[in-house]
Amino acid sequence: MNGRTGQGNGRTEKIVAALDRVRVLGPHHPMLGDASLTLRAGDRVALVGPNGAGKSTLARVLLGLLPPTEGAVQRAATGVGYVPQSYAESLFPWFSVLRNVALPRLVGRREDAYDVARALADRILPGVDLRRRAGRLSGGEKQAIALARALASLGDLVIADEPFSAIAASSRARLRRVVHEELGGRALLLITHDASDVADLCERTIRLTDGHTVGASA
Amino acid sequence: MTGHRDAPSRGASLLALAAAIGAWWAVAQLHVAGRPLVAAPVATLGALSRVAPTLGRDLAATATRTGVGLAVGVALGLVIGVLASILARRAPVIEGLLDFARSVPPVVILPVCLLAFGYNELARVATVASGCVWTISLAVITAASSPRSARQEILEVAGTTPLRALVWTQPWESLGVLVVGLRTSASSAVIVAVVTEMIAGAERGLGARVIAAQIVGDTEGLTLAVLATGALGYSINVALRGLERRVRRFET
Repeated sequence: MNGRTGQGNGRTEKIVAALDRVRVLGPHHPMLGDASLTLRAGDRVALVGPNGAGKSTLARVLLGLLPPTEGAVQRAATGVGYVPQSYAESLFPWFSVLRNVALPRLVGRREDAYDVARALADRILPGVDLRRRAGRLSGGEKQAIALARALASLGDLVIADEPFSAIAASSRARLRRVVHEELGGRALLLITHDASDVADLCERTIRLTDGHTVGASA
Repeated sequence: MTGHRDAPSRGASLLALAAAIGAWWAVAQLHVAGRPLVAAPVATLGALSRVAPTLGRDLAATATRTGVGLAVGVALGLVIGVLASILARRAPVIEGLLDFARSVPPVVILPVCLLAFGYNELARVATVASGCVWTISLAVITAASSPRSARQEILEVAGTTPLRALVWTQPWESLGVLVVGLRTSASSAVIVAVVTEMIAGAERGLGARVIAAQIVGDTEGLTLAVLATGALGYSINVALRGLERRVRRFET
């Protein structure tokens, strides 16, 4: 569907993103302290930890949206799929659902942008009129658009920050299955508080406590 | 259920309207220096048929002056705002200078415009525009200085350039701030247009009509001109509030 669909995770030794002893200092306290992490192609990694531990900060450093105060970052190549925690604000409410999903490929000037987006939306947002403006949909539907958009991306990595938090419990298992299938050989960094997300989608878990990563080795 | 809730609300509105007309009538009974402050409602309505054609022409003249001045002010304000937003990153004092310019009451610019352009339409429109241009410029600066949005981040992460991400997002995300600036500018434009007509004079216009009615002691005509000015300002405000509501809905 996106040129890499497959049940296998296509693992290679290629490192798609990494952090080495990264620290990020906030105005009042450290947001991340001594965090290390290596993501290889095909990795399915869960990033867990209590609220405020620095999970989203770590993701933003990996994405290059936040510069580290110390440490080395190997940023992912462009085209990363990203579901931010503030998924609703990340959508383009004046665009249609379809155009939102197609966005990463429109940015990449890909001719298959709308075909891939339609196929993904049909699986992730069944029954939703794809011509509707994204701003008119419910919170759960908006989060599903953000998820579909991330899966339509062209890079080697998808970072999803609590991507199922607003989605109805009855739909989560189905969506996890779709994510698993659509990821193909891409790496996944999944930030979650839900044990079912970890069990269904991830092979490795990294715990972040007070900004320190535990169990981050590959 | 809705019908039950609407009935008392409509009744209360009619009551409030009647009270307002009653208050108007009461004020009309006040006499200062042997003359009424304003004409009574019935007398004003009676005068309407007499002055309607010329009042309509004056209303149209002021509305046109307001609209043209506002359009020129908005166009200039957008250009100045974009340039100032770029320059203000290196020289933050620019925002302070624009704020200073906005703080100058537009009507004091009128003599400057009269000196520059003479007693003509250009001077009046330029004065109206001067009341809008700084408000719009500052609205553009406010919009441009907003932190990088989640949408821009998504586009950058997807691989687009920061400039392209800005072009895809900024115009849409700025709409809310710009419409608020437009509404503020429009309110100011009506005031400045009428005051300019009163001070600098004009062949046609509500401001000129107010002064003319005051000079000849035409209380009914004066009251109608005041009401027409209020109606013009209110109509523009209602229209722009509607536009603002649409933009807010569009944004989310």
